[in-house]
Amino acid sequence: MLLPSRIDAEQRYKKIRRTALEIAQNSIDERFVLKKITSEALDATILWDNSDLRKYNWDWKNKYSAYRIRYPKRFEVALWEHKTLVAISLGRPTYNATGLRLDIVEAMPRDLGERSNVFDTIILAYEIYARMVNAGHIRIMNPVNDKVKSLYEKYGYSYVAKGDYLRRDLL
Amino acid sequence: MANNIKQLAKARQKKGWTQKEIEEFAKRRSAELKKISQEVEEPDYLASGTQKTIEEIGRDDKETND
Repeated sequence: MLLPSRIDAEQRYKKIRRTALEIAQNSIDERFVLKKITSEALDATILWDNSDLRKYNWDWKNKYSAYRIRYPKRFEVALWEHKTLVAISLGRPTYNATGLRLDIVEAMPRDLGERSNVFDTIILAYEIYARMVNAGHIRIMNPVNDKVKSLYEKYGYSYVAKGDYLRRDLL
Repeated sequence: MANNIKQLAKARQKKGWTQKEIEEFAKRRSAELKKISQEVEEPDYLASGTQKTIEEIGRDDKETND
């Protein structure tokens, strides 16, 4: 059973998440729709098991429910393009709330169909949420390979080997 | 100059951002990110994250501790 303080935090941060997604939605291309993670999005990730490109078969369904219960201050986003799920992500404030961690992000592997670039949209939503919770930086945890790491660096993030994450201060 | 911007940003963070300021930031940052996105080739498989359990992720956060 959840503690009342946790239920209260869930309600407060739910409103902040919703506002962050609304602000991001008003700043991006119309072909994209940003939503919270729903059962529809979790079901869509199951199709990604069919990809030959996928490095980990993330079990989003189980991982999400455990994460949601444990972290009421989390940020979550499902990105849809023409009714296809094209990316999904989970993150949360760091231990002392000085930053925001992007714990997991996964885009639809491109051997399953065409999709637009998604990282700019996902990270915009994170940067907005980070400002709303007064986080001073963002960390993108555990890039899956050097190609992905290099992509994040092009967006102004710097790799920190100790901890295996990329960081950018919010200015 | 860069130091001044950083100091101003830190001072603003202490006080908190208004929704109007966040909306203005969103428009500006969206344009910056879109420009980068048009110039880079996103890998066919884009992902980050750990295979750790939720409990392990929690411990991992305490290790970095900020």
